[in-house]
Amino acid sequence: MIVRLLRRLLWAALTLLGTSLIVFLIAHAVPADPIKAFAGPHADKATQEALRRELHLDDPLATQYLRFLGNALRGDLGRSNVTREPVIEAILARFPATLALSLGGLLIWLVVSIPLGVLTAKHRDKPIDRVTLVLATVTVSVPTFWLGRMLQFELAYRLGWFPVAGLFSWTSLILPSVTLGIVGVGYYARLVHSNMLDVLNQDYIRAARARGLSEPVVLFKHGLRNACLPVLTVLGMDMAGLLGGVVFTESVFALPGLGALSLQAVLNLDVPMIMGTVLFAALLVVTANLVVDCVYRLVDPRIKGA
Amino acid sequence: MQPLLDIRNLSVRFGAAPAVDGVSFTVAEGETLALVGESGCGKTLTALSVLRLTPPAAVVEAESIALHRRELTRLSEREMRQVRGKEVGVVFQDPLTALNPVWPVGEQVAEGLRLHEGLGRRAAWERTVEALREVGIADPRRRASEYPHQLSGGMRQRAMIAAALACRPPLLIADEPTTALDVTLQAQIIDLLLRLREERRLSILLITHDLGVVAELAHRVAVLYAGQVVESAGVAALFRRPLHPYTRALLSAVPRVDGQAGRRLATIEGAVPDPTRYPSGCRFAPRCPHALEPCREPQELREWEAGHWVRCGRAGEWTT
Repeated sequence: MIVRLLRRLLWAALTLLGTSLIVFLIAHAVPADPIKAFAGPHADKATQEALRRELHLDDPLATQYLRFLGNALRGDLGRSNVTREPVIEAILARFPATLALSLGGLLIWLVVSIPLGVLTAKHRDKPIDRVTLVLATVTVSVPTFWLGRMLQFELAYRLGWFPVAGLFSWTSLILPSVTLGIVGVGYYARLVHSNMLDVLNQDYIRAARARGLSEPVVLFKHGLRNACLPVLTVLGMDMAGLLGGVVFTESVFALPGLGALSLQAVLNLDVPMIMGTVLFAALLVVTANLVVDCVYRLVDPRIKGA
Repeated sequence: MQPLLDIRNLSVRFGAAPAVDGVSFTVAEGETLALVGESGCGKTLTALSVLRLTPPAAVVEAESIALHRRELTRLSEREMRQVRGKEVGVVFQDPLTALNPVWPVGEQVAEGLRLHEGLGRRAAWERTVEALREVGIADPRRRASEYPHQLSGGMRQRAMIAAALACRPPLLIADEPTTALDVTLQAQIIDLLLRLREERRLSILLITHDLGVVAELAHRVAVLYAGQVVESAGVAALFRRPLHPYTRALLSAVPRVDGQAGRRLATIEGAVPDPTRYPSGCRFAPRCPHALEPCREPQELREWEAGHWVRCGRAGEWTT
């Protein structure tokens, strides 16, 4: 058990290392010169060179990378090229908003899709099943930022039911959570649906009915617990997609989170900030996957060992 | 004496095809009736119809399905749920697939007890441990917390029997209870069922295609072919003097330990007819070595001697 955990942690560390290397290389492969963006279009050559030396951007790539890695392991992700604030502080200050939004999105995602999947499996080929199928296709195809803007315009601006933007109270999170979660709802509802159809054909379902158990107990206690297992595995992978949606959603709704922070960093070519936010995002995804892994082991007693 | 289970004119159709066609039988208290036949002859559907557990696409019609003289066809779904598990227990064929893999074995026994006997969690668990002990599972307290995949095949089948009989129903429907097991386990399960039957005066509706199991467990036998009962008799009478050509063919198909070595196994030529294309007369005629002109007419089930019924016009012509 401990060995398994250690092995997982090792893989997590390797994943983060690999991510940091890839991001570093991509950030430095971009043809735009960060010095030009930082110093402004009117700086003369001497200023640019001085700036370059000061920011250590004239060192060989390998040296820059190793320096970055060494600092990162000590919790120092450098300073933003733009605001000069420590990257780690900026990230931690903005993390709560992103966490709240992600959890909200996840909640909507799962709370809607799972019962929907169970219902459509039970009432197969009836109207609710067909309607859900159409909705599923639509929600998967709709871009997050478009949906966010539409909801913002209609429900917040025109009808005034929700705050338009910013993070002032929990009501500010409703529209963003819906925007974030709805993309997954359709897909997961169909996933649960098809898994439930398989499960409902199993002998143990018939055996449960033969013991006189009521239909809700049969569906949820006996059926869903089995049908959710493949959903859990997919959920681990979809965590990364969730964070991707977070970037757009935070932008549209002006939430002070990591998504907006990283978007600004990219637009400013603020390399330390880019690296910091991406690495942190990778950390979140890896952690989420570890959590899902543990939950999976709890839910399915047949999984043993690594 | 009133029979415990009384089925009259039961039919199960899928669209136009009658998978079960006018089947009638009774099971008395303490009696074991075996429904015998090849795969696809409708025996499992017949048994499932008693509890309304047939697939949604199946249309079930019956003149009467009565348990303890209570007409089951007129019960609401809610009332039916009180019959399932409490008045009738079911044991399914494959204990690995019939037990839910994500719940401990004990939970699958206890939930029935909590539901039908209103027991609290602790009381139900104690009864569960007892039930597992009664079916011969060693160290039942530990086993109750284990999952199906942690138990051996024999223990799983015992656990399923425990779950089916936990609320002490008077009738047990056993659908191929030994088919998925090897011979030694089969013998153990048969012994278990014999003991339980003795201790609890249990009635058993046994579905099987294994005539050996029939010989050991059953008091009476009904042979099904193409959705109809073609012969029904006491087990001794059936084995001593099978009347229907199908029954005779089934019995001769069983390889004998004392038979001649090197002899070809006897088979029944042809295959079970498709329910959408039953022959208009005797349904076994296309495969029957004794078929004649009169066999083109539909055959009725007639009582040939006391308690021995057969659906064949030429039944009396065989010598044993």
